[in-house]
Amino acid sequence: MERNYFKAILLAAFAGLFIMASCEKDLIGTELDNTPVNNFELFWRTFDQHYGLFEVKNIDWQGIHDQFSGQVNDQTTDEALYKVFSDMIVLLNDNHVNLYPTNGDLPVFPGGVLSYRNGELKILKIQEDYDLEVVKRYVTDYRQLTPFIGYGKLPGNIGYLSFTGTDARKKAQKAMNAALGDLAETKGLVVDIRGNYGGFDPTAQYVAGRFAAERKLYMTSRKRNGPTHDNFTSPVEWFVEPTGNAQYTKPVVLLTSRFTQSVGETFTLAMRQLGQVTMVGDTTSGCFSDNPNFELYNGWLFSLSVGDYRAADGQSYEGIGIAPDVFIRNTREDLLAGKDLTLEKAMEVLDR
Amino acid sequence: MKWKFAAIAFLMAISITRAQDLPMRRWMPTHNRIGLALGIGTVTYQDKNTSPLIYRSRPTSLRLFYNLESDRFLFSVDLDLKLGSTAPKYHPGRILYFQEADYEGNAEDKKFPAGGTLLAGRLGLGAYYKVAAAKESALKLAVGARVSNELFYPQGWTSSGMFNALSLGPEMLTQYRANDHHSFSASVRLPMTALLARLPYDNTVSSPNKTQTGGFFSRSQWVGLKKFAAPTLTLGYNYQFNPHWGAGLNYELGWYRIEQPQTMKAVNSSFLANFYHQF
Repeated sequence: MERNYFKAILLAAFAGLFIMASCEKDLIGTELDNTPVNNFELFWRTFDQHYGLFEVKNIDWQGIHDQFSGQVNDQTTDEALYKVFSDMIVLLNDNHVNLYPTNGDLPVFPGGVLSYRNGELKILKIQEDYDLEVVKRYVTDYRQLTPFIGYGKLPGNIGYLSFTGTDARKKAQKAMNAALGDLAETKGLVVDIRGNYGGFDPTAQYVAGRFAAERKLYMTSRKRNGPTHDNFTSPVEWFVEPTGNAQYTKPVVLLTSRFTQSVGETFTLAMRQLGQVTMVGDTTSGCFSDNPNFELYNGWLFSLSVGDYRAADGQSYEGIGIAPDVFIRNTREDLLAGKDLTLEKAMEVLDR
Repeated sequence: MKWKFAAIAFLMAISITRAQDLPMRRWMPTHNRIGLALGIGTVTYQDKNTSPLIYRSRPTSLRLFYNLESDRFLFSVDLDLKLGSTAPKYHPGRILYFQEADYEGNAEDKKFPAGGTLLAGRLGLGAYYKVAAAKESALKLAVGARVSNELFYPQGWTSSGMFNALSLGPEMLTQYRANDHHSFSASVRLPMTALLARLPYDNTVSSPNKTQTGGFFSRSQWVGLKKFAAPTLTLGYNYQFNPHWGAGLNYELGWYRIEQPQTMKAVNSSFLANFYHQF
């Protein structure tokens, strides 16, 4: 008798395993064929359903589809497809849009146009106006507290704080306590974000709060939440307000560059709301939104801006950047000569 | 699909309903069992909120478990951890190529794999009533409920598939003890409701004054079967060396269908070898 029950259990078990194991396609689904046409349509459609800046940048995305779709067929090579995608995303003028081919032969393509000089648009790939090693020639007792936060002292009792990205929140809190504690007696502070290429906005919000005397709105953000171009979440307000155990409210110069981007720029929006801050350097990059990665059937990756981030006055600086109060830009020759004229200008402003 | 699940349920039901007139045996030789299991498995998933690609991981599994048997009830606590690399099933060896240069004229080409990792964890608490009709047979049945928290945390160039679910649902256990040494077991569970956290449509978590973890979990919401379906089947064989020590093999098959904000499906199968102590 027991043998019968045992057989029934085994039968059920094996039937279950066989059925479940044999129907992964039913349980998971399938991928569409990895063809150039399918990849082109998915690339275009993902932007269409997720990109947050069509309205801000006045982009006719359907027109771009019509312009490029004829260049792709099922015989299109990877190189040709890469060229098509690159040409499409350059039109967005968005430094947060990147194309990552994954076959190992085609380089990552940054979509941002960072320079408009003498009537020519350029994607800048090499930062030629900032080098922390050159900065260190001016700074005494420089201490790198985390991968993204370091500090030291400049001549004339001026403090220097390098903020190049965002650590984990607790790490940033600890580093800011140490840095601002040691710099509390300085007469002014240079906050250098020329090498800040991005990170996590709430951590930058915390760091900005270490310089705030009161609560002020500095940014609103809304993100795509559906497939049509006007599908957005409700706007979220971002405030800069006093954070940490003490705030530095003496004069501050914020150093920016054309390579200051993403979190570097939302941080700039926050710092601009503080009365004691003067912005010195170059106009920032002009890319504020979060930019998650998406994928194509061929395994390639690409990132795109899903949000519409505005300054407190409602103005969007996407694709434009934030202009400094005092414009100055180091040249490559300056750096090669060990000179940081932008930093010297900052000290001059604080010495006034 | 429905007929396939119906067939499994029917076969199990036949086994259970005929098991009413066999000699009495307990589920375990003693009241408490504590054990450790190690194993391997496969997790396959596709998250249409992020990617059209099907991902596959072959993680290593670790399970710690504790079982308690009283006259009428069974209780269980188990912690499962899975850790392994993950990659698109049809593009396992993706390489990224970066061209880097600096103002001093140095140029460097960098190539590295676009890999990812999968961490999955589950903490489960179950309480089950030993069905009277099956109490005296070698083939036993217990029905009850299980509370479980599952974290599915893939990391890489996308966060495809990420979710956390605190779920509650019924579970049915059966055991066949052939003799003092050999026993076979099976269980089926189906969460009916879950507090589910998923990335939103935009696939980001940043929001004012919140950490990444806080931003992710702040979007948790209660959902029903329509948005979170996760049936799981387990099969086991145990060999009892003596009343205090035993070892066994387990197989677990789980399927997930999450409809928030877009469809994510996953299949998880694991083989584990366990070793346990009873007291």
